[in-house]
Amino acid sequence: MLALPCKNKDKEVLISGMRDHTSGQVVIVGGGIAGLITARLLSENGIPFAIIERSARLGGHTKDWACMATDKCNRCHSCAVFDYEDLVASSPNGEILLRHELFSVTRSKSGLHSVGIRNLDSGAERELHSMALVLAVGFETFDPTEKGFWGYGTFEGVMTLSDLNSLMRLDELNKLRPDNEKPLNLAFFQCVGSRDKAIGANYCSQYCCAAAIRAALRILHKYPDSKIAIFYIDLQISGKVARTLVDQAQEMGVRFLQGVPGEIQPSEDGELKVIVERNGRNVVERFNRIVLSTGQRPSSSASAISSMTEAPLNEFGFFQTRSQLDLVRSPLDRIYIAGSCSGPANIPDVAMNAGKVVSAIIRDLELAI
Amino acid sequence: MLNSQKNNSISCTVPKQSALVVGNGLTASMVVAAIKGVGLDVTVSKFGSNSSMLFHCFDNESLMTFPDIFDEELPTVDEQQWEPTNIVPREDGFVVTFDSGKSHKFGSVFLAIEGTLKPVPKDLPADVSTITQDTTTPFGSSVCFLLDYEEITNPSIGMRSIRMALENQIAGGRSFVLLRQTPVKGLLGETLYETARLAGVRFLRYGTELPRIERLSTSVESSFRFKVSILDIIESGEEISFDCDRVFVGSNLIIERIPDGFRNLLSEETDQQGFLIQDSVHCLTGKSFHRGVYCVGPSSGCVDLFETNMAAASAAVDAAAWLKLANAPQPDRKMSITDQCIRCLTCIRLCPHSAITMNAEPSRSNLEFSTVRCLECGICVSECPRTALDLNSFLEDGFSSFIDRLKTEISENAIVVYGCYRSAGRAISEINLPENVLFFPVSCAGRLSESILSATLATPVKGILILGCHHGNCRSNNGTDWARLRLSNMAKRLGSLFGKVGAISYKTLAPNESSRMLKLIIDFSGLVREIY
Ligand code: SF4
Ligand code: SF4
Ligand code: SF4
Repeated sequence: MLALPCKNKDKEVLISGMRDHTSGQVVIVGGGIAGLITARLLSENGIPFAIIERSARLGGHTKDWACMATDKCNRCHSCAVFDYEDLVASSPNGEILLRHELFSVTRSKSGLHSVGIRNLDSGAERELHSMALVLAVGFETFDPTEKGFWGYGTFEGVMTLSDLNSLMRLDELNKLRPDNEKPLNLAFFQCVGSRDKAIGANYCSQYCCAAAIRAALRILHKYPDSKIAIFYIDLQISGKVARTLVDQAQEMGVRFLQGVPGEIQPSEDGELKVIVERNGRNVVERFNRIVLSTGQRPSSSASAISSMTEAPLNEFGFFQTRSQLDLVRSPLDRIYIAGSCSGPANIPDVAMNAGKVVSAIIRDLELAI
Repeated sequence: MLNSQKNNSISCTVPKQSALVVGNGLTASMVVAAIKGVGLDVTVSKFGSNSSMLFHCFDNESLMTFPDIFDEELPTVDEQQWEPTNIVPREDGFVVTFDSGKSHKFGSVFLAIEGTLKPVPKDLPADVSTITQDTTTPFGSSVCFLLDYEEITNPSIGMRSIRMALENQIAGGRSFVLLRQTPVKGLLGETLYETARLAGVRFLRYGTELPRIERLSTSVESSFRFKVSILDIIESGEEISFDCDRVFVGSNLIIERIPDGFRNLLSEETDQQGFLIQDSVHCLTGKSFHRGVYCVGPSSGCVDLFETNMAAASAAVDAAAWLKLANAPQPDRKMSITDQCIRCLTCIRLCPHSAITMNAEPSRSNLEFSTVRCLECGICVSECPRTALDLNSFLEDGFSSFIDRLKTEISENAIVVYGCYRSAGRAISEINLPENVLFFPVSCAGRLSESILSATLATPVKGILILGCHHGNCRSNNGTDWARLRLSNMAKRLGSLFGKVGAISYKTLAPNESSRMLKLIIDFSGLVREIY
């Protein structure tokens, strides 16, 4: 058994030589869950931060998600955002700048950034001194109207996972039932806008398999007479929870069907029909609702922020990272990428990623005390 | 727990800001690097296997660019196996007792042991092997990777297989991957799959019918060793068979033996698969409910090199923050205790955050409350048989005066909603309460003692609705379950009287369920008014 001394044991020397390259704050662009977790860990480690958020509230997409609990929490992790928000809002060494946007970023010789921000309401401008810049601008949900996918926007019963989520959020799942007599017969189509080279999205969106299964469980909890099918390409079951979710759903009678139908047609009785292949034969399946599990696309503000900061984007339009294995540092010094703006992610992944961002900042800027 | 307190041989050579890492393999090395990276001292207790159980799907060249692990000089540690047999939380850290009998004090403790893979399924030929992290490519000729055989293969192991299949193919061999679900984890998972397909790796998918692997006779030197037959359900729909030299199965993780110290401390803290640390929102990134105790890597159910590296970094950052907090001058006491205490230890046993310890002194033992650990849930307060405890920021008196008010000031039909501040307390900001409903936020549903509930029922109030966080989502781990339990206890005790003196109901909620909260209240009011 041995106590290992840490590398920079002699902190005094370090601190006196540190002032110049660690003046200012860590400026976090985006107040979604990635920005919040980053801010919280920075703050708890005594590192000052500022969050710049365009909208009027913190929490981003996560704050819009509905709870997926049945008789127990199903670990969608979205309510964590409330805890992080409170922790960040009450931290003594941070600034939260809502309704603000970035308009200029200048890199000084010392490597520090001077960040120009603007109040979107008053137009007032300010300058922040950033010892490190964390880009946490999140993602955009794929919009299936773009390509007229599966009659979204045309056929009444076709909706996206986000639409379903909004109904759940308002506790209005009853609106899904055609009339209260008829049980819900619902199908999820996975990988809509993901794993699709034709639209430049040949990647898995990482969250939707688990999200669809959770939604299915929640629907079945509320309306046990519902019939639910999930059409998928490949089930992605990584992480601590996904495997148990699949087991639970199978127990509850959710059908998992491999292969996503290419087309939805309205049927004579006002329902939706799809043709699926079973044992080499084409079979018609009918549903009254079809939910498109829409994927994550790069944030619409990514390109503007990329040109301002010179942090490059990758072939998919997400922020490029220093290497395939360094997912938190941008190729530029002192610019870090947190959360889903470097690629699709679910909440536990975002949390780990944000932790790694903070650890990289502490390491690179020698902020360890 | 108490025995170790008597042990006076606590060595103070280890500084308070030090972390103990228990493990022996790559996970432990990465955790050590991460902890050193945030400036903490680290001590390693070698425990468990030293062969790594972490998988990655990168080629060796990019692996060399992996930051913050291989650039660290890995620490050399004592060869002796020291197993933590007891871990006792103290105000600013932990006292860890090892099987040697010695105790040391640490600021935080990390469990970073490796795991074991499930063995090759029994119905497969004997010389089929599992894919381990040490399996190296290329293999030369013809190789078959069999995934998802008994259950879906861990995606990290699946992705490793695809990488190996690709490398083997590039080196001139033939690779087959038999699976049910193609794993495409991460931004580049799909690209890896596509690259492998384009390079000629044959992906074959099976359905309910399992592939058959037969051992061929090896009498002739050059002949293939296995014959594989599979009903390919996607591409051809036909039965395909081929011969190959080697067959690997993609397996899953089973849990390595957890050191007793962690097992005792984290006994109930497993996820739904049985791996350590819950998957609750309060335990993201390797945190346990015991502040300062972390679990990273295979023992937490993760075999991904990359994710483990990130989790190690996150946990280390959190540990640094925790130590900063624990060593800072403490704010005012959160708990009060009167001399009514009979030292029954109920509160010590129940505190989900191990904030209470017994200071066993020869003259007079007394309880110690850790201000940094206490999250002010009040579970201890509600179960103390002598009502000796109280939360300073949330006094029992607050309940009493609320209940007094109920006796005099309210109308006949009133309903009281006791809601946990974390869920109901937030959800309520988006709704307007119906008339005659009083909302009283509590620190945790588990704070509502039977005496508070009975006293409330004894007022003219016609109904009590308790709103806690969903099971598995409670910030104090089991406060919400306490509330449920007390309600059923009360129902049993009051027998047929229950429900006549007033209706009482328990429901769970999340902070993002305002609309549902309102409906629960309206439904409950309706029910209550129907009864009376
Ligand atoms: S299901 Fe999600 S929102 Fe609901 S309690 Fe669990 S983590 Fe929170
Ligand atoms: S539960 Fe009450 S009586 Fe028992 S040890 Fe704790 S404070 Fe004392
Ligand atoms: S209030 Fe909760 S956290 Fe604090 S000592 Fe009591 S049981 Fe523990």
